[in-house]
Amino acid sequence: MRRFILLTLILLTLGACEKALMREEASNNPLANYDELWQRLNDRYAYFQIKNINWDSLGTVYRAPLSLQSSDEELFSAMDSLLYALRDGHVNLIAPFDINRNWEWYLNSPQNFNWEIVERNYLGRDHKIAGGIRYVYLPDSIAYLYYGSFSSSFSTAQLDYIFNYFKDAKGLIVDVRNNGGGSLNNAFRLAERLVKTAGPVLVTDQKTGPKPQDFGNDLQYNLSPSSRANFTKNTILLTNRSCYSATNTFAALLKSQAHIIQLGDTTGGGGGLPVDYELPNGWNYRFSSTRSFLPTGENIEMGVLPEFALNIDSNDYRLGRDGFIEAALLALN
Amino acid sequence: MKKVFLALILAFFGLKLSAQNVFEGEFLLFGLGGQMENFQDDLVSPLNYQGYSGAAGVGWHSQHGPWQSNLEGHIAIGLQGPASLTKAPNQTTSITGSVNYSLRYRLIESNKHAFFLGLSSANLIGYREHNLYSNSALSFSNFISYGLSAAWQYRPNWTIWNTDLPLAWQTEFNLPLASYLIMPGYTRQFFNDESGLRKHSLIGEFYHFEFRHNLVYSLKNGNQIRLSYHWNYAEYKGLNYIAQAQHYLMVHLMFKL
Repeated sequence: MRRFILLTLILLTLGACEKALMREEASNNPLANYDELWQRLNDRYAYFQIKNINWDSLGTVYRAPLSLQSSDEELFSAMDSLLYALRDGHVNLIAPFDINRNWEWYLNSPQNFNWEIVERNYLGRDHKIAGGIRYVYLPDSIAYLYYGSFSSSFSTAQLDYIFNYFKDAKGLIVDVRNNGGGSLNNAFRLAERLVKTAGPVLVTDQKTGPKPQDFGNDLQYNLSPSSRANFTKNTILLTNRSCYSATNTFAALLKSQAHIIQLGDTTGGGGGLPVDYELPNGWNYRFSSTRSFLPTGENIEMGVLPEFALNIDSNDYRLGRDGFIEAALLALN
Repeated sequence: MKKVFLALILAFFGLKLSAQNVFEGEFLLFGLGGQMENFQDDLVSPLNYQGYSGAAGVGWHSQHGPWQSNLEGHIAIGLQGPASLTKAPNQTTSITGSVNYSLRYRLIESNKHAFFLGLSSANLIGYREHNLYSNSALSFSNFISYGLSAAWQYRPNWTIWNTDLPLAWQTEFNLPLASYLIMPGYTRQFFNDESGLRKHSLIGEFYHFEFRHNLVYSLKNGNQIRLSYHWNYAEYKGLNYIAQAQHYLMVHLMFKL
């Protein structure tokens, strides 16, 4: 019996040895956390070359003040400075006491949007709402559609209703200003209701290895006009610098369409799909791991340029007018 | 439902049969238990994650003369958190499972012992979702492995207070030599709607071991109650390092067919 118990114990012990087999866990001290962040981005961040960033040099500069005794605030400050240099709205470090971000892509530009004026003077009291989309007829049979977030979804039936409702419109204004992004799927679903000619609209690739040139898995996205209710007459897309991520991609998807004109400010950018990760101390962070290009080869990370660049005159606000919508109405008439 | 359960219990304890070798014959098994999981997934975190899951299993055991075959599957659902960050909450929800088939031939047999050697197909799946991530919350690791299998049976004649203890023991060990891996890609889980990494791999690039220890209590009717401890360990040393280990303890009811 004793022999049996001993044998049982030996066999059970065999099953508890995976800690010895597994790779050693990353250390949790300020320097190790900083190095982990730097290395992870060094291997997997997608935009060092396009943004001409010397990551080695930045890593050394911001690591210098740190030591094993650095406080959480000092560590966050060093990491904040390092990540800020990436100029990427898809890069964030989330600590319990602060969130690192670089929002210069819109804070350095005029907002070019006032929701109060749009709601009160253009959408009006009786505008329709389907899913996340608000829509109305403006004077002279010009259709107006405002979509404030690609995270707010809509059904196929709702899109059918909207574009059937607009079937007699002379032209369409698609306003995506202040739309900070959301679901790319929604961007494609809405875009296919607007395109007139089929063809390639976007090319993406992704980081496939730690070396700077390790990009692959190229994927070309094509769009064809929807067989359901759609709008293929003259259309104006209104954008400002707060059009980010999926909204930036949405503008890129429509870029090749001759009947669609982008008017306003350059979109905010954000062409990479972000991925999440965490540090040994438990702080989370995210960064871009893919790249997106127009079929012509232009990278859309820093934004999609409008055909007609415009800034709203502050006098317009005083008069309760939205300069972008007024310009679009003029163009469509 | 109650009637079905009652019928199963009556069938399990009621029928009377007898067998020379408790492992001999065909058995259908159902089990419930718990699992402790430990994983390190480079797509999720540089930290070891650990947690507990509820587990259920089904299987079929067959032994006739020198041939023995086993088909067993289990599924477990639970939560895990970073093992080294004691204040961190459980951050991943995981669904793990295994499906194993082994066919073995008895090479050595003595009065109380038997040793089998054969082949196995050992399949291990693991899906994890990080509850704090919004952009790349999902990760997974699937090892579809095949290789060698060995088993050792021990049938003692124990008596306590003049009562025979109908206990027996079986230990199984599976050592896959090759595996088809289905995992995320380097930075993205999927590419073009398919898993980022799908490849055949040989031992060295991956490791996958399985130990299973079964303590069998045989009822007079031939059915058995089995306490089963199972250890799975699988590791892939690719661009994204993944190691996952599962310990599960289950009570199996084995119906003799």
